[in-house]
Amino acid sequence: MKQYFKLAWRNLWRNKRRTFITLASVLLAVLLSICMRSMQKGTYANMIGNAVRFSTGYIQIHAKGYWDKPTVNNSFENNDKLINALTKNDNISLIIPRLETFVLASSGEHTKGVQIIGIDPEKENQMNGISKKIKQGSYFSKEVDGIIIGDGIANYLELSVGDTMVILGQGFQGITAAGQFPVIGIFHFPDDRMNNALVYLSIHSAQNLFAAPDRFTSISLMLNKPRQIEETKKNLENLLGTSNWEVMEWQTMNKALTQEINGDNAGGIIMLVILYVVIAFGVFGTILMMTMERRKEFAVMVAIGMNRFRLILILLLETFFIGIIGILSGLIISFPILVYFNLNPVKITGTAAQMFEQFGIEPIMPASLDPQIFINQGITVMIISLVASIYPLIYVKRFKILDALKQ
Amino acid sequence: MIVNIAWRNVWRNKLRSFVVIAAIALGLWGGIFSYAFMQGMSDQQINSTIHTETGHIQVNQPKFLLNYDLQTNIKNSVNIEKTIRSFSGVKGVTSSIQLTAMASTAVTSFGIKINGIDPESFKTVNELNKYIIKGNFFDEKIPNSAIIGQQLAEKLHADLHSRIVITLQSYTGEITYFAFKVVGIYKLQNSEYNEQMVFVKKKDLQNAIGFPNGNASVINILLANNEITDSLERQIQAKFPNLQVQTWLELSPMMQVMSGTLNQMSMIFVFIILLALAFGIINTMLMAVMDRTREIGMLLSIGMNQKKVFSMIVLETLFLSLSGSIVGLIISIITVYYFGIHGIDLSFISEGINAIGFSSHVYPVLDIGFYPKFAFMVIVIALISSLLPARRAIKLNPAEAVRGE
Repeated sequence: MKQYFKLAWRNLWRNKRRTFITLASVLLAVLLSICMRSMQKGTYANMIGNAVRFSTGYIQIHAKGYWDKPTVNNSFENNDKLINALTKNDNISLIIPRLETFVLASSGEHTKGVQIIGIDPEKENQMNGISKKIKQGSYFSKEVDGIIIGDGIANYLELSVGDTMVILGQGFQGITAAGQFPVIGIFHFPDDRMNNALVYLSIHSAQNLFAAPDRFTSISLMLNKPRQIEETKKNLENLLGTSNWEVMEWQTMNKALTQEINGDNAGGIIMLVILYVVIAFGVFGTILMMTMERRKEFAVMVAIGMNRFRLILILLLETFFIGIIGILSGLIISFPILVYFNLNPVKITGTAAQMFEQFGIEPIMPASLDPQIFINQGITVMIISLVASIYPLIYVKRFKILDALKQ
Repeated sequence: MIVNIAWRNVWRNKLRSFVVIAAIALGLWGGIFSYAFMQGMSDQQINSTIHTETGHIQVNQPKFLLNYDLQTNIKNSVNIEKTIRSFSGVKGVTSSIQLTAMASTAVTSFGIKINGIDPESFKTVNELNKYIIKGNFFDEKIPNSAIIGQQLAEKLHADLHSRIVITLQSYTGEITYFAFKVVGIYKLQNSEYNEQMVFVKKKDLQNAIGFPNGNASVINILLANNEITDSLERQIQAKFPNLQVQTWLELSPMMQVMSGTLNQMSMIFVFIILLALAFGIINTMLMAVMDRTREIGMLLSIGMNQKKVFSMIVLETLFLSLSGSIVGLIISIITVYYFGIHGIDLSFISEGINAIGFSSHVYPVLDIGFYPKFAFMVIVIALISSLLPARRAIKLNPAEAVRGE
């Protein structure tokens, strides 16, 4: 066996130029498919990261039944045991409590349905940097308390900083919740749907307004490693038990985004398949040429008594070596390229950028460095090269020695 | 003479030529087909916007879209509709009352947009009636009937015959409650639309909020085809200078942006595919030149000059790429045509596609003018790719090359 390896290895370096050309085609196949997939995946990760920061976080914890009936009645009481357990989990980077519900907001003649969110100003700001998105007025501080509203709402209700907004809704256990709040700031998020619908106030004011002292409707969690979201979710479910609590990940809560990514992914996969077809033919072409070039060599070997199956084995080993070397060098070359585009993402320009902003996503296409991409594309290209090497195998099995020698 | 030699060389080794031709054909097909696929996705989105949301043109008062304010309405819209209907190229005109409100059931409540429509004229502009998945598109016998989207129905835990209480502002600004009965549930491809848009009969809504008879918030217009949109927009605007007249593109800038993004993305992908093709050609041609070391050495030593050998290789590539392009074009036209009719089923992930307003079947389309453009691009790429192998060929040392291997 060792001898076959030796023969195959030496065959490769006997004609270096030929080997390099074949290597190049494999290397390029890996490089291109990795770049394409990494761009796609990176764009999704960017979408997800942005979207969850401005909405639910990666995971949310609610009292059982809240998601189906998002009212203050389905809130839960703050308890130290829960918070302590969350703090201890290594993958959780941020714990963000909220008390939110749907209310009517009015000012003057206009009324509008809005989502009101009681927040812990400091933590919320760590999550989505909302204090930097304030266009007019200021963010919550010890001195100033009131509400912060989106510029869409401000336009609709004709409110500016210092004006008063009236809120009417339903509080805990059916109590009517009504209050007047001064507008202290007006924010502008990239996503207009949020500007048209969100009102923030401090969690204490919200708890007072809805007569729900020390209660939350949800606790949002940001993660250090979003890839391990499933494990973390299971962990929390085991810890809390599912009879009184629901632990939900963003995929369930933000269906529109999940669906959008899946839909886009379908297009991406079709593109990738087309790329594979083109790549496969490039690799097949070089391997075919290589076989034709070596017809005489094969004929001589079989003529002097080489068993055809052993020859096939050697050829297979050659393809395998070329595949491994080509793929490894492709991975090595693609890595710095991807790291570069990960740190300096491609900026989307023109009208396309607006679309990303409308979805609340930064208009960039960063490359993803998910190791899964490297593994998957490496394996796929290896399969492609092995399939391409079927031709020489069939040739070796069938060729007629005399015909081949004559050439 | 060189042309002749090159042509014969191409057909001398059929297998090799076949591989290069197939590679070029596949590369061309890959480029064309993925572009057509993206184009199909974006076209579908545009059509669905026009036929189920805005029509080609919408007319409303200049400030209406900012606040959906009831007072900002079109006075005497009936006459305006009549005038617009008389323009040539107009297929249908309908007017509606639009306002934002809150819908509640016993369980919960959500913000929605109410459309008070006239079912008969609405059908001439909007195909919503084809997307009813449960119940009917209005029932004359049932007063205060409403049609809601599937997502909203799920959110409100409502079904056919459920009663929905809508909290809204009346024409004079008071908060009013009004109960509607669900007679139909629709499902469009746009999830956001399914979640927000509630349709009721204009007459019922007029009674509920005291909206003046004969007025309307918006007028939507469907045209015979999309090409005349801009010219009709100008005509209508000239006739009614005080109203805001907008095309579907102006109304949903998302559309513009969507096709922009798709374009940008498909350009990047087509570029990557063409790059793969270029390297395929370079590699195969290099191999081919090396395979023919002896032959080329012979040509060089019997006195064929380098220029001629160079142009011979380039010409061979040209012939190969021309043949490849023809084959590729034929395959592309057939596949784009076939899938343009039958569609590519992406239903295993269709939920996702619906979210951005795509249907689960994608029907690739490509403007006929794109085929020659792509073919030209591929031939240019093939020629550029042939330079390296051709250079390699003339760098051979005749004396060594003739000796072979």
